[in-house]
Amino acid sequence: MRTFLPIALVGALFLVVAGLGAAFRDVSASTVEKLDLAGLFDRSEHVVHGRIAKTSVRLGAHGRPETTVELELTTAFWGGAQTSLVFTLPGGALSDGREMVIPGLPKLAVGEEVLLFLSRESKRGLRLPIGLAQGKFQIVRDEHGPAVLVRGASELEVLDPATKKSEKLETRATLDWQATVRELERLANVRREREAREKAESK
Amino acid sequence: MTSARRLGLFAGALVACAAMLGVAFAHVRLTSSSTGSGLKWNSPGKIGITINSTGSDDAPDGSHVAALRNAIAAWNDVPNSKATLVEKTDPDEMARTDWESDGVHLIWFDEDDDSGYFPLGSGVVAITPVWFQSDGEIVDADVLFNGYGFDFTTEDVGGAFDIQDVATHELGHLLGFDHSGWAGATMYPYVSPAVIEHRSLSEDEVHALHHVYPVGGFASITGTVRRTSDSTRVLGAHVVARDANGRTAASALSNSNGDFTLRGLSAGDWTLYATPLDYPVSGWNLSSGQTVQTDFQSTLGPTVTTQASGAVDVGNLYVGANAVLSLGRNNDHFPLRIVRGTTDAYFLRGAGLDSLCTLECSDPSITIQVVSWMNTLVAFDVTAPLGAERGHADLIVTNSLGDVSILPAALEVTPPDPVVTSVSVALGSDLGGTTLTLDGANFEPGARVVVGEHVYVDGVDATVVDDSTITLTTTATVPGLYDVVVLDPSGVEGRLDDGFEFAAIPTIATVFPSAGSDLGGTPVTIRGASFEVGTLVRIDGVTQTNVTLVDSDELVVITEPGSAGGPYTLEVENTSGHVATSVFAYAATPDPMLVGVAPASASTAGGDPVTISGANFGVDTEVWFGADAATGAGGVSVDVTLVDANTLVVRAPAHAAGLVDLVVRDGATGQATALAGAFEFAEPEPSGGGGGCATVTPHGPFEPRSAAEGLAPLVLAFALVRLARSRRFALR
Ligand SMILES: [Zn+2]
Repeated sequence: MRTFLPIALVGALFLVVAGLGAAFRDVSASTVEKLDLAGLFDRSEHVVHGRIAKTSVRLGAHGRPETTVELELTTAFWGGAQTSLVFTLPGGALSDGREMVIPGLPKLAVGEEVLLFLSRESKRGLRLPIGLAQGKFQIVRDEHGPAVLVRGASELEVLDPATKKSEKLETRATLDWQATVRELERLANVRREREAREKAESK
Repeated sequence: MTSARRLGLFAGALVACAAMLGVAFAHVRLTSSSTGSGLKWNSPGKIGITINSTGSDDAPDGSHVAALRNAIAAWNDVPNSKATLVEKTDPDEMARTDWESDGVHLIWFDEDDDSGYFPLGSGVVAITPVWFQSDGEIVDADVLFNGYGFDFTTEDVGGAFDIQDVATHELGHLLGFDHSGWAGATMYPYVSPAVIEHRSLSEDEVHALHHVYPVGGFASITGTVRRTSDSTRVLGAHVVARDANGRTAASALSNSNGDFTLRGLSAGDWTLYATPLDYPVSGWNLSSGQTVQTDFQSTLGPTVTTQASGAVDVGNLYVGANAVLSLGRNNDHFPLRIVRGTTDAYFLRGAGLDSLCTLECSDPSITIQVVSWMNTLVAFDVTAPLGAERGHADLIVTNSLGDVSILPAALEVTPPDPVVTSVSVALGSDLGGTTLTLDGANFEPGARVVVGEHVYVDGVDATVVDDSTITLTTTATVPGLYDVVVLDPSGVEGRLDDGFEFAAIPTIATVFPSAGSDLGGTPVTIRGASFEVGTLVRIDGVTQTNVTLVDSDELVVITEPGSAGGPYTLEVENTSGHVATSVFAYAATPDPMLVGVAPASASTAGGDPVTISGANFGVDTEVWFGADAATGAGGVSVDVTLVDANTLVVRAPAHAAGLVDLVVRDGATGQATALAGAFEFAEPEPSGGGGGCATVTPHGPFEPRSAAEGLAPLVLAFALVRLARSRRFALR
């Protein structure tokens, strides 16, 4: 699996880097589409926080396994799901041991608390986390402190939504999940307003 | 690489582990989630690969084929590996799109999300679903390009992904390999448009092949990664070996006991280190669900010597405490290409990158000059010496506390891009056979040349003469104007746009007869190559209206009238405008005609009288037994008795048994006619009785006229003979 979503999810850091990117353009061989948290948010049909309640594998349209995941919702930041969201991913292991793997697709285990950025459905009703592993975040609750957010394949852990500062963030033991929630809610508002504006303009 | 996130600790502790088995693989293999078995093909020597014939809508010129062939070759060309991807070229199979069938391993550009695996916006450029049994035996795997969501290219079109680069990566999955922790490996999980450095395999992939599909024995290094602080074992630590030159050479992840095995090694000295798999590749990029702990800092271990085979145990590899220091993020571009003999400027993201840090390369011959430290970013210049070998090297950052972070295989040393300045010949036949000399620069041994769908390989069907000259002889290729591309073994390329054209260029081998009556109506057979529907024939500038395409190598023209004289230019012109020329003459005399021959057979011993009837015979008329009716070539001429303009008498020559053509030719003008298969030579009857064939006239004194009168009234119409000869009639 090859993905194309090198994401700088960092507010302040992203700005610094974007500026430098221009300065170094002549020495950098290629250009990468840089998606910050907003970019990730805007690509998603569902941005959801919850716990994986159930997964089941069956043979899909191609005679190949598909995994249906039931997410018990805590919050739907985007997509209008109510109490749960059921979606299907390609691949999975059948009870007889036969299995299909999509290299790069993150595993979703029952009991995990996650923040997922999910794509719209494909023509065969399948979804993918945006950027595969990059679209899955794991919520880890520290019994001694506030909830923390753990990034899978990228650098969300250096995001400090409260301060927008990236420096020294890596010395922090935890991230403020509530601040992250506020940032996601802000992104939802921005997207809602933009879509309403686009709708109005198209009339 | 390292960072002081206790988050990392949490991550290590809390990653879902579908398979907590004691398996540690060199590089990283795909595994069965039920048994932990590494995936592999049980018959790796002939893994069929079918390139779907529809191709990519971004490469309507068909250039994807050579790109995919190069990707296949990258894996096949590794020495001492059993794994061989065999391209299947059956047209029916190439037309298939049922990738999910076990019987076909397709490379397919899914332009319309027919697979259902490419929802819009997912960011997935290509995928390789791998279907396997619980014991890890791969049953089917197919490479699907997301043509629905992305553009692809073979020639560095902006914003599009390089087909060869992406395919080389995906074929690694097809062979059973997961993502690599090396920033510069082919199996690095991320790709950007214009990146081509993953076209060539890193040593990580080479060792993966030697581990899973070995030919012969290899050495291995085993050990256990432990924390210095409390001797606890580190799970999923990325253990890397460097060779004696400081180049990144092999890697493994420690297993659920902290044990690791570096496999597929040859004899040599290896310096080990362990580094957390956190940036830019993390455990989330792996499909195994393996626990990956990252709460330590990159730590150098011992240097180990291996023999050609056998295991060396290094015991414990202790790693230092976590540190606020890391280098490389997945939105950096990897690998950082360093052209030997030059200085290249780069920057990398990270953490803890302050001005008290130092940055160096694991290969001490490669020098680094830092331009600026900005805590989350470092800008620097890298210089590789002129003689630097191709391959990867690590970047090492050290802070004022002595903490270390190593970014494995971040740099890739390559030669400069090849430059193709000119090609000696601009046009050649689509049938191949044209010898080309490519002039340019930076050509190196092992170079590959792409012209059309064919890849010419140094030492196979091309020769790198020196660094500015490559020679090759073209192979048959579909007509068209093609770029001439020279690829270095590192994957970097040089291109001469529209450098060579393959065309259906007609050639003429024979024209028979070489002359005809000035009144026209002479059947003339033109033999050659690359004749096609619509091919024109002109004699002395006059377009011939009655032309029959017998085959791509044969035309039959019934001539128009012309002026006696010549020889005139005879031209054959294809629809592409390419022309071949020969000559043809007109004579003021009527063409000889052949009507019959009696008897129609004779003894192989020769000497039997034969009467030939026809018209327009004269003193210069020659008779040839066994000459080719289409070309006039070959055969045996005999003495001719001219009875009259309609009758010739000859004695059959000695000739091997069999049916032969008969040619009658005017030696003065070149006018001629032929009867195909008109005469048979037969062995004499061994009994001695009877003598000759049944059709031979009764024995007696040689009576030419009576022999002629004894002719059966058979008239062999020339047209019928032509028709019989046209059994190969097949228009292109
Ligand atoms: Zn991949």
